Amino acid sequence: MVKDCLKGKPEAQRKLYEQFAKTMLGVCYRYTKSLKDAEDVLQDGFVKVFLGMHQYKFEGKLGAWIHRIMVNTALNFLKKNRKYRDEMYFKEQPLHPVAADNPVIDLQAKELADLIRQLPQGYQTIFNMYAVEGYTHVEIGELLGISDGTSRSQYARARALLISWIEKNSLETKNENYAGK
Amino acid sequence: MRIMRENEFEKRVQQKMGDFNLRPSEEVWTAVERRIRKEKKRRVIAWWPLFFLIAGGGIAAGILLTKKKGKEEIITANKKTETPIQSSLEKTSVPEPVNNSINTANPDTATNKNTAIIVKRSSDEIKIIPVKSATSVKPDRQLKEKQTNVIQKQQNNTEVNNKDIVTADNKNNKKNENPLVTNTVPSTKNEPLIPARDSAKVSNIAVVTKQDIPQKNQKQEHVPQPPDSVSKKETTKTTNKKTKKWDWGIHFSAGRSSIGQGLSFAGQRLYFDALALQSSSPPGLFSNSSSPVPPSFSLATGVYFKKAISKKLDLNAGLGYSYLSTKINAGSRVDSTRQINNYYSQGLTVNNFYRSDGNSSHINGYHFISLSADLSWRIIAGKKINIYWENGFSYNAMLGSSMLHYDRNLQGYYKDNSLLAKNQLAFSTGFSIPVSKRLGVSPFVSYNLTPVLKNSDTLHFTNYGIRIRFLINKK
Repeated sequence: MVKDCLKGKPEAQRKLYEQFAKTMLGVCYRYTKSLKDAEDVLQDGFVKVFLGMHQYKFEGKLGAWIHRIMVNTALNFLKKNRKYRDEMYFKEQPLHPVAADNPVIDLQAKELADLIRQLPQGYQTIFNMYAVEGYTHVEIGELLGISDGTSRSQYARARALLISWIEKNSLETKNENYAGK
Repeated sequence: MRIMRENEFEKRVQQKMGDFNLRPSEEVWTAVERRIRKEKKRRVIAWWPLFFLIAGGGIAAGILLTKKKGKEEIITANKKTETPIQSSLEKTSVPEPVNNSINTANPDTATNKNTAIIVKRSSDEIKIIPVKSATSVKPDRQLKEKQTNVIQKQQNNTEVNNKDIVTADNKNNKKNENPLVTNTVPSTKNEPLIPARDSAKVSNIAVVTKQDIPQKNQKQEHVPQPPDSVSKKETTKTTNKKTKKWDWGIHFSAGRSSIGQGLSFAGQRLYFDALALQSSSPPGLFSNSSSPVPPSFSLATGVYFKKAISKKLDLNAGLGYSYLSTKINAGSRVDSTRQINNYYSQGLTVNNFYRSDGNSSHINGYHFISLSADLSWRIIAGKKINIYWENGFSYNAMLGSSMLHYDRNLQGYYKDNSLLAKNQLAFSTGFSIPVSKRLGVSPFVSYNLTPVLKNSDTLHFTNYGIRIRFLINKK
């Protein structure tokens, strides 16, 4: 399929898009605040994928390569788009201890993604990069132009905030269930 | 333990998000498809100007190279049509030509004293027609009249059958009042006379010299030869004609090239940090974190064509290869895959990169195919020395590059040729000093008006050095 895409065959390109578009839209959705923006990122990302297909060296999974491109495209989108750029400032804050809470996430994937998207833009980005994508704080610092300490601190706050929302959400769900019974 | 528990939360999040997907609207694919096609078309279109220029240059070169030969052939043809005997021959009413054997002189050997044009006709007559040199196009009127008279006399005197006409080159000797020699020879066939201008159309054309003509059929009288002075004059005329045509030759230049903000020479040592990631905005171009970029070697070679427009002005056009380079202090090469994600290169995977420890120097080389045109204006016209001022433009299409870009996150250099502007327009100026008729030496400076990088309009190439031009077809 990749070879056919390299030859520019539209059917192969469509097939590849169909295979990865849903998952990749999920990635883009987590980094943005609206579905429309997520689709814009997805569009930019797939254009890069098809035009830069020759850079794929068949080392590692194709999905992982596309995933990296989507994340990079999303980060670039945030930097270029004023709506996001203005909100994405990172204060040098003292290191915030990471809470020991490990709540059970009793949410659907979409619900959790929506909660992540409600985080402030800086928190949202760092949380996605660290907790979901698996970047280290040093890498996040380099990619976002901040210190790794700031990344840690921001992540700890983002995590604490998200956990509180998850717990609150779980409590409300339990109450609703209880009232229903 | 705490870390483990912390990781558990992240694992759960990862698991949940791994399953998360959304169906995009159909417009996304439509837009993706449209943009891919558009981008591919744009890339193809970007190559068309280069294709046309190279093709145009090639065709022009071909035309110019064949033009000289063609002109000489035309001159010879004109000469044939205006050969004095022809007009008289045409006047004689003769049947349609059948199986004519016509031998005409090769244009290249037309000036050879021993060259003759034999026209065999259906009579027993051999006529030696003087073939003028390439410059003598118009026949002498007196000569024409004389020749016509001779023909008429022949017609009156005999019922001519099986005539062969032999034309001999006698270099248009004006003093020679009767260059035409007529001999009647026996023939077995009745063949009509063919007008000389049609002779080229006949297939059986052969080049013969005087010696080649069988002595039996060649009872020729003395064919007067031109004096040397006349030949020399004709040669001079030919040379003068050639100077109005395109001359062609080869050129070679060597010098130094640099990259800088504006015109940049050896003294400017820039710090090239163009691709370092600072923040969301484009990073500053220069910092001390990467290697300085001093100038390095440059060369160019190719063919060029020259035409005199006026006494003081020459037009030069060239097609060739040029190489520019700069030097950086990079480090050892690391064969490891890295993801480059900065303002310029986004999502680029590189399989190797160079450290920035400065332990070894790296040449950033740039290969171009270039098409140039310049005007050469003679500003000093002395007896001993002439100096020309040359100004022109060149279009340079980048064939390849070994340029490395610095990335602050990588703390090293990587290669990404997609960042380079492939089509470069350059302006050049310089002074040309002719050393001999064929050889010219010119110091020059050229400045690329197009920036080096697509996304930055501040960096430009400067190239300076000495150019040598050698005319090959100049006599």
